[in-house]
Amino acid sequence: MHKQGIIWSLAALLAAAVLVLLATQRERFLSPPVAETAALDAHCDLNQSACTVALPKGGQLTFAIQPRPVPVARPLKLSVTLKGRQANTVEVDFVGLNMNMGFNRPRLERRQEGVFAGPGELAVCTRRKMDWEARVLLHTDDGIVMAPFRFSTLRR
Amino acid sequence: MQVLQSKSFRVFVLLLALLAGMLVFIATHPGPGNTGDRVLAPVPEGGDFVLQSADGPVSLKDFRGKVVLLYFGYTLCPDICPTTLSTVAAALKQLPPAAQDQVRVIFVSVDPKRDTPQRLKQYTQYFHHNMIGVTGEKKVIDDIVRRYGAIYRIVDDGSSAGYLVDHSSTLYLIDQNGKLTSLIPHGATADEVAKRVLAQLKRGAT
Repeated sequence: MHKQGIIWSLAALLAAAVLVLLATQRERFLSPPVAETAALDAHCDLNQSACTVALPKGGQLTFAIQPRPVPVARPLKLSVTLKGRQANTVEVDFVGLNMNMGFNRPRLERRQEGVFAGPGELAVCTRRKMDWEARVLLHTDDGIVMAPFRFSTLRR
Repeated sequence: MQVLQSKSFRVFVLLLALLAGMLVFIATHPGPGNTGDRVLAPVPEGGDFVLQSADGPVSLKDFRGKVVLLYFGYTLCPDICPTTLSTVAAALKQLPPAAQDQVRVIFVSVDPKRDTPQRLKQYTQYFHHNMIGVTGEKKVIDDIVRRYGAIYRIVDDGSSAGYLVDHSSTLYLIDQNGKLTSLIPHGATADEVAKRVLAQLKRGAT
Protein backbone atom coordinates (compact mmCIF):
# COMPACT_ATOMS: atom_id res chain seq x y z
CA MET A 1 0.00 0.00 0.00
CA HIS A 2 2.92 2.26 0.84
CA LYS A 3 4.62 1.51 -2.50
CA GLN A 4 1.38 2.18 -4.33
CA GLY A 5 1.12 5.59 -2.68
CA ILE A 6 4.64 6.50 -3.77
CA ILE A 7 3.97 5.43 -7.35
CA TRP A 8 0.71 7.40 -7.51
CA SER A 9 2.47 10.49 -6.16
CA LEU A 10 5.24 10.05 -8.72
CA ALA A 11 2.68 9.73 -11.52
CA ALA A 12 0.85 12.88 -10.42
CA LEU A 13 4.16 14.77 -10.20
CA LEU A 14 5.25 13.62 -13.66
CA ALA A 15 1.89 14.47 -15.20
CA ALA A 16 2.03 17.93 -13.65
CA ALA A 17 5.60 18.45 -14.91
CA VAL A 18 4.60 17.44 -18.47
CA LEU A 19 1.63 19.83 -18.40
CA VAL A 20 3.73 22.73 -17.08
CA LEU A 21 6.42 22.12 -19.71
CA LEU A 22 3.87 21.90 -22.51
CA ALA A 23 2.24 25.14 -21.36
CA THR A 24 5.48 27.08 -20.98
CA GLN A 25 7.18 25.70 -24.08
CA ARG A 26 4.12 26.00 -26.36
CA GLU A 27 5.75 28.64 -28.54
CA ARG A 28 8.86 26.53 -29.01
CA PHE A 29 6.87 23.80 -30.69
CA LEU A 30 4.77 26.19 -32.80
CA SER A 31 7.76 28.14 -34.08
CA PRO A 32 8.74 27.79 -37.74
CA PRO A 33 11.63 25.40 -38.44
CA VAL A 34 15.06 26.91 -39.06
CA ALA A 35 17.36 24.92 -41.32
CA GLU A 36 20.57 26.86 -40.80
CA THR A 37 21.84 29.56 -38.42
CA ALA A 38 24.87 31.79 -38.94
CA ALA A 39 27.19 32.44 -36.02
CA LEU A 40 26.66 35.69 -34.14
CA ASP A 41 29.44 38.22 -34.70
CA ALA A 42 29.63 40.04 -31.37
CA HIS A 43 32.19 42.49 -32.72
CA CYS A 44 30.07 44.00 -35.47
CA ASP A 45 27.72 46.74 -34.28
CA LEU A 46 24.85 47.76 -36.57
CA ASN A 47 24.97 51.21 -34.95
CA GLN A 48 28.39 51.71 -36.52
CA SER A 49 28.30 49.91 -39.85
CA ALA A 50 26.77 47.21 -42.00
CA CYS A 51 27.61 43.69 -40.82
CA THR A 52 28.62 40.73 -42.98
CA VAL A 53 28.47 37.08 -41.95
CA ALA A 54 29.39 33.85 -43.67
CA LEU A 55 26.47 31.42 -43.90
CA PRO A 56 27.17 27.88 -42.64
CA LYS A 57 26.32 26.15 -45.93
CA GLY A 58 28.01 28.70 -48.17
CA GLY A 59 27.55 32.28 -49.28
CA GLN A 60 27.56 35.47 -47.28
CA LEU A 61 25.00 37.97 -46.07
CA THR A 62 25.38 41.69 -45.39
CA PHE A 63 22.80 43.46 -43.26
CA ALA A 64 22.49 47.20 -42.66
CA ILE A 65 20.09 49.49 -40.83
CA GLN A 66 19.88 53.22 -41.54
CA PRO A 67 20.02 55.74 -39.95
CA ARG A 68 22.87 55.16 -37.50
CA PRO A 69 22.82 55.02 -34.55
CA VAL A 70 19.57 53.10 -34.85
CA PRO A 71 16.68 55.14 -33.38
CA VAL A 72 13.45 53.83 -31.82
CA ALA A 73 9.98 54.76 -33.07
CA ARG A 74 11.41 56.19 -36.28
CA PRO A 75 11.24 54.76 -39.80
CA LEU A 76 14.26 52.59 -40.58
CA LYS A 77 15.73 51.51 -43.89
CA LEU A 78 16.70 47.85 -43.80
CA SER A 79 18.84 46.22 -46.45
CA VAL A 80 20.13 42.70 -47.01
CA THR A 81 22.66 41.79 -49.68
CA LEU A 82 23.38 38.16 -50.52
CA LYS A 83 26.43 36.76 -52.25
CA GLY A 84 26.57 33.15 -53.34
CA ARG A 85 23.14 32.40 -51.88
CA GLN A 86 19.57 32.65 -53.14
CA ALA A 87 16.44 33.55 -51.18
CA ASN A 88 12.81 33.60 -52.24
CA THR A 89 11.84 36.13 -49.58
CA VAL A 90 13.69 37.92 -46.80
CA GLU A 91 12.33 39.06 -43.43
CA VAL A 92 13.94 40.72 -40.43
CA ASP A 93 12.72 39.58 -37.02
CA PHE A 94 13.40 42.16 -34.30
CA VAL A 95 13.57 40.61 -30.85
CA GLY A 96 13.94 42.59 -27.61
CA LEU A 97 16.64 40.87 -25.55
CA ASN A 98 16.12 42.61 -22.20
CA MET A 99 12.37 42.98 -22.66
CA ASN A 100 9.73 41.26 -24.76
CA MET A 101 8.78 43.82 -27.41
CA GLY A 102 6.21 41.75 -29.28
CA PHE A 103 6.11 40.48 -32.85
CA ASN A 104 7.98 42.73 -35.29
CA ARG A 105 9.02 41.01 -38.52
CA PRO A 106 8.99 43.27 -41.59
CA ARG A 107 9.30 41.62 -44.99
CA LEU A 108 11.82 43.15 -47.40
CA GLU A 109 11.26 43.64 -51.12
CA ARG A 110 13.57 42.27 -53.78
CA ARG A 111 15.27 45.30 -55.34
CA GLN A 112 17.65 43.45 -57.64
CA GLU A 113 19.38 40.08 -57.79
CA GLY A 114 20.55 39.32 -54.24
CA VAL A 115 19.48 42.71 -52.85
CA PHE A 116 16.46 43.07 -50.56
CA ALA A 117 15.34 46.26 -48.83
CA GLY A 118 12.38 47.77 -47.05
CA PRO A 119 11.15 49.82 -44.13
CA GLY A 120 11.14 48.77 -40.50
CA GLU A 121 10.67 50.29 -37.08
CA LEU A 122 11.50 49.53 -33.47
CA ALA A 123 8.89 49.96 -30.75
CA VAL A 124 9.62 52.49 -28.04
CA CYS A 125 9.57 51.55 -24.38
CA THR A 126 10.11 53.38 -21.12
CA ARG A 127 13.42 51.58 -20.56
CA ARG A 128 16.23 53.92 -21.58
CA LYS A 129 18.56 51.30 -23.08
CA MET A 130 17.19 48.41 -25.09
CA ASP A 131 19.21 45.49 -26.41
CA TRP A 132 17.98 43.97 -29.64
CA GLU A 133 18.67 41.04 -31.86
CA ALA A 134 17.79 41.47 -35.52
CA ARG A 135 17.39 38.04 -37.07
CA VAL A 136 17.61 38.15 -40.83
CA LEU A 137 15.48 35.29 -42.16
CA LEU A 138 16.13 33.98 -45.65
CA HIS A 139 13.30 31.84 -46.93
CA THR A 140 15.07 29.44 -49.28
CA ASP A 141 14.07 26.24 -51.08
CA ASP A 142 15.90 24.36 -48.30
CA GLY A 143 14.13 26.11 -45.43
CA ILE A 144 14.77 29.17 -43.31
CA VAL A 145 18.34 30.44 -42.97
CA MET A 146 18.79 32.71 -39.94
CA ALA A 147 21.52 35.29 -39.42
CA PRO A 148 21.42 37.07 -36.02
CA PHE A 149 22.89 40.53 -35.35
CA ARG A 150 22.88 42.46 -32.07
CA PHE A 151 22.69 46.15 -31.31
CA SER A 152 21.40 48.53 -28.64
CA THR A 153 19.17 51.57 -28.79
CA LEU A 154 18.94 54.54 -26.47
CA ARG A 155 15.69 56.41 -25.88
CA ARG A 156 16.30 60.11 -26.22
CA MET B 1 2.12 -7.79 -3.37
CA GLN B 2 -0.78 -9.05 -5.43
CA VAL B 3 -1.59 -5.48 -6.51
CA LEU B 4 2.00 -4.88 -7.65
CA GLN B 5 1.93 -7.99 -9.85
CA SER B 6 -1.47 -7.40 -11.44
CA LYS B 7 -1.82 -6.69 -15.18
CA SER B 8 -3.39 -3.27 -14.65
CA PHE B 9 -0.52 -2.28 -12.42
CA ARG B 10 2.00 -3.25 -15.10
CA VAL B 11 0.06 -1.11 -17.61
CA PHE B 12 0.13 1.72 -15.11
CA VAL B 13 3.93 1.43 -14.69
CA LEU B 14 4.28 1.41 -18.49
CA LEU B 15 2.24 4.62 -18.72
CA LEU B 16 4.37 6.11 -15.99
CA ALA B 17 7.52 5.29 -17.96
CA LEU B 18 5.93 6.84 -21.07
CA LEU B 19 5.15 10.01 -19.14
CA ALA B 20 8.74 10.18 -17.86
CA GLY B 21 9.97 9.70 -21.43
CA MET B 22 7.74 12.56 -22.64
CA LEU B 23 9.10 14.77 -19.90
CA VAL B 24 12.70 14.07 -20.89
CA PHE B 25 11.85 14.63 -24.59
CA ILE B 26 10.12 17.95 -24.01
CA ALA B 27 12.85 19.20 -21.68
CA THR B 28 15.70 18.27 -23.99
CA HIS B 29 14.16 18.58 -27.47
CA PRO B 30 15.23 21.88 -29.00
CA GLY B 31 11.94 22.31 -30.90
CA PRO B 32 11.71 22.83 -34.65
CA GLY B 33 12.52 26.54 -34.64
CA ASN B 34 15.05 26.57 -31.89
CA THR B 35 18.62 27.28 -32.82
CA GLY B 36 20.66 27.39 -29.66
CA ASP B 37 18.58 29.56 -27.35
CA ARG B 38 16.76 31.24 -30.26
CA VAL B 39 13.10 30.57 -30.77
CA LEU B 40 11.49 32.06 -33.84
CA ALA B 41 8.11 33.39 -32.74
CA PRO B 42 5.19 32.03 -34.75
CA VAL B 43 3.29 34.53 -36.90
CA PRO B 44 0.43 35.98 -34.77
CA GLU B 45 -2.86 34.20 -35.32
CA GLY B 46 -5.11 37.19 -34.49
CA GLY B 47 -8.76 36.18 -34.32
CA ASP B 48 -12.10 37.23 -32.91
CA PHE B 49 -12.71 38.93 -29.60
CA VAL B 50 -15.46 40.66 -27.68
CA LEU B 51 -14.77 43.79 -25.61
CA GLN B 52 -16.88 46.52 -24.04
CA SER B 53 -17.58 49.94 -25.52
CA ALA B 54 -19.74 52.76 -24.13
CA ASP B 55 -22.50 51.53 -26.45
CA GLY B 56 -22.31 47.89 -25.38
CA PRO B 57 -20.27 44.85 -26.33
CA VAL B 58 -18.19 45.06 -29.50
CA SER B 59 -17.16 41.92 -31.33
CA LEU B 60 -14.69 41.76 -34.20
CA LYS B 61 -17.36 39.61 -35.87
CA ASP B 62 -19.62 42.70 -36.01
CA PHE B 63 -17.34 44.09 -38.72
CA ARG B 64 -17.32 41.25 -41.23
CA GLY B 65 -17.27 42.82 -44.68
CA LYS B 66 -15.26 45.81 -43.40
CA VAL B 67 -11.53 46.41 -43.08
CA VAL B 68 -10.49 46.87 -39.45
CA LEU B 69 -7.42 48.63 -38.08
CA LEU B 70 -6.70 47.40 -34.56
CA TYR B 71 -4.55 49.37 -32.14
CA PHE B 72 -3.55 48.77 -28.51
CA GLY B 73 -2.99 51.80 -26.29
CA TYR B 74 -4.49 53.88 -23.49
CA THR B 75 -6.02 57.34 -23.26
CA LEU B 76 -3.34 58.77 -20.92
CA CYS B 77 -0.65 57.71 -23.40
CA PRO B 78 1.51 60.82 -23.72
CA ASP B 79 2.70 60.71 -27.32
CA ILE B 80 2.64 57.47 -29.30
CA CYS B 81 -1.15 56.86 -29.22
CA PRO B 82 -2.27 60.37 -30.16
CA THR B 83 0.31 60.45 -32.95
CA THR B 84 -0.80 57.11 -34.38
CA LEU B 85 -4.52 57.85 -34.02
CA SER B 86 -4.06 61.25 -35.70
CA THR B 87 -2.24 59.54 -38.56
CA VAL B 88 -5.02 56.96 -38.88
CA ALA B 89 -7.69 59.68 -38.80
CA ALA B 90 -5.84 61.60 -41.52
CA ALA B 91 -5.59 58.38 -43.56
CA LEU B 92 -9.33 57.74 -43.23
CA LYS B 93 -10.13 61.30 -44.30
CA GLN B 94 -8.13 60.71 -47.50
CA LEU B 95 -10.46 57.89 -48.50
CA PRO B 96 -13.65 58.52 -50.49
CA PRO B 97 -16.73 58.55 -48.18
CA ALA B 98 -17.94 55.16 -49.49
CA ALA B 99 -14.54 53.62 -48.71
CA GLN B 100 -14.42 55.30 -45.28
CA ASP B 101 -17.68 53.58 -44.45
CA GLN B 102 -16.00 50.22 -45.14
CA VAL B 103 -13.31 50.80 -42.50
CA ARG B 104 -13.42 50.71 -38.70
CA VAL B 105 -10.66 51.44 -36.22
CA ILE B 106 -10.77 49.56 -32.92
CA PHE B 107 -8.74 51.16 -30.14
CA VAL B 108 -8.22 48.58 -27.38
CA SER B 109 -7.28 50.14 -24.07
CA VAL B 110 -4.78 48.03 -22.15
CA ASP B 111 -5.43 50.22 -19.12
CA PRO B 112 -8.96 49.18 -18.06
CA LYS B 113 -8.38 50.53 -14.55
CA ARG B 114 -8.41 54.12 -15.77
CA ASP B 115 -10.06 53.87 -19.19
CA THR B 116 -13.80 53.51 -18.78
CA PRO B 117 -15.82 52.78 -21.93
CA GLN B 118 -17.28 56.30 -21.71
CA ARG B 119 -13.84 57.88 -21.50
CA LEU B 120 -12.71 55.76 -24.45
CA LYS B 121 -15.68 56.91 -26.51
CA GLN B 122 -14.87 60.57 -25.90
CA TYR B 123 -11.19 59.95 -26.69
CA THR B 124 -11.68 58.04 -29.95
CA GLN B 125 -14.49 60.25 -31.27
CA TYR B 126 -12.13 63.19 -30.97
CA PHE B 127 -9.99 61.58 -33.71
CA HIS B 128 -12.60 60.07 -36.07
CA HIS B 129 -16.21 58.93 -35.95
CA ASN B 130 -15.21 55.48 -37.30
CA MET B 131 -13.03 54.80 -34.28
CA ILE B 132 -14.38 52.68 -31.47
CA GLY B 133 -12.78 52.61 -28.03
CA VAL B 134 -13.08 49.31 -26.19
CA THR B 135 -11.66 47.61 -23.14
CA GLY B 136 -12.40 44.66 -20.89
CA GLU B 137 -11.15 42.39 -18.16
CA LYS B 138 -7.38 42.06 -17.91
CA LYS B 139 -7.41 38.34 -18.77
CA VAL B 140 -9.48 39.00 -21.91
CA ILE B 141 -7.15 41.83 -22.98
CA ASP B 142 -4.08 39.69 -22.26
CA ASP B 143 -5.43 36.91 -24.46
CA ILE B 144 -6.08 39.31 -27.38
CA VAL B 145 -2.66 40.95 -26.92
CA ARG B 146 -0.99 37.51 -27.05
CA ARG B 147 -2.92 36.38 -30.11
CA TYR B 148 -1.95 39.50 -32.04
CA GLY B 149 1.73 39.30 -31.02
CA ALA B 150 1.49 42.62 -29.19
CA ILE B 151 2.82 43.49 -25.75
CA TYR B 152 2.06 45.89 -22.92
CA ARG B 153 3.30 46.39 -19.40
CA ILE B 154 2.47 48.80 -16.60
CA VAL B 155 5.48 50.91 -15.63
CA ASP B 156 4.92 52.51 -12.25
CA ASP B 157 7.86 54.79 -11.55
CA GLY B 158 6.08 56.43 -8.62
CA SER B 159 5.56 59.69 -10.47
CA SER B 160 2.73 61.95 -9.31
CA ALA B 161 1.29 61.84 -12.82
CA GLY B 162 0.49 58.15 -12.33
CA TYR B 163 1.85 55.10 -14.08
CA LEU B 164 2.80 54.76 -17.74
CA VAL B 165 2.09 51.77 -19.93
CA ASP B 166 4.63 50.40 -22.38
CA HIS B 167 2.76 48.97 -25.34
CA SER B 168 3.08 47.93 -28.96
CA SER B 169 2.71 50.83 -31.34
CA THR B 170 1.80 48.74 -34.36
CA LEU B 171 -1.46 48.92 -36.30
CA TYR B 172 -2.97 45.53 -37.11
CA LEU B 173 -4.71 45.37 -40.49
CA ILE B 174 -7.63 42.92 -40.45
CA ASP B 175 -9.42 41.92 -43.64
CA GLN B 176 -13.14 41.78 -44.40
CA ASN B 177 -13.24 38.21 -43.13
CA GLY B 178 -11.74 39.00 -39.73
CA LYS B 179 -8.29 37.68 -40.63
CA LEU B 180 -5.12 39.48 -39.54
CA THR B 181 -3.32 40.24 -42.79
CA SER B 182 -0.43 42.53 -41.94
CA LEU B 183 1.15 44.91 -39.46
CA ILE B 184 1.63 48.62 -40.12
CA PRO B 185 4.46 50.26 -38.13
CA HIS B 186 3.86 53.31 -35.96
CA GLY B 187 6.00 55.50 -38.22
CA ALA B 188 3.84 54.93 -41.31
CA THR B 189 2.50 58.15 -42.82
CA ALA B 190 -1.21 58.84 -43.41
CA ASP B 191 -0.60 58.28 -47.14
CA GLU B 192 0.94 54.88 -46.47
CA VAL B 193 -1.86 53.83 -44.12
CA ALA B 194 -4.51 55.00 -46.63
CA LYS B 195 -2.74 53.09 -49.40
CA ARG B 196 -2.63 49.88 -47.35
CA VAL B 197 -6.30 50.19 -46.40
CA LEU B 198 -7.38 50.93 -49.97
CA ALA B 199 -5.37 47.96 -51.24
CA GLN B 200 -7.15 45.74 -48.72
CA LEU B 201 -10.55 47.13 -49.69
CA LYS B 202 -9.79 46.28 -53.32
CA ARG B 203 -8.46 42.82 -52.49
CA GLY B 204 -11.54 41.91 -50.48
CA ALA B 205 -11.76 39.11 -47.97
CA THR B 206 -9.27 36.26 -48.19
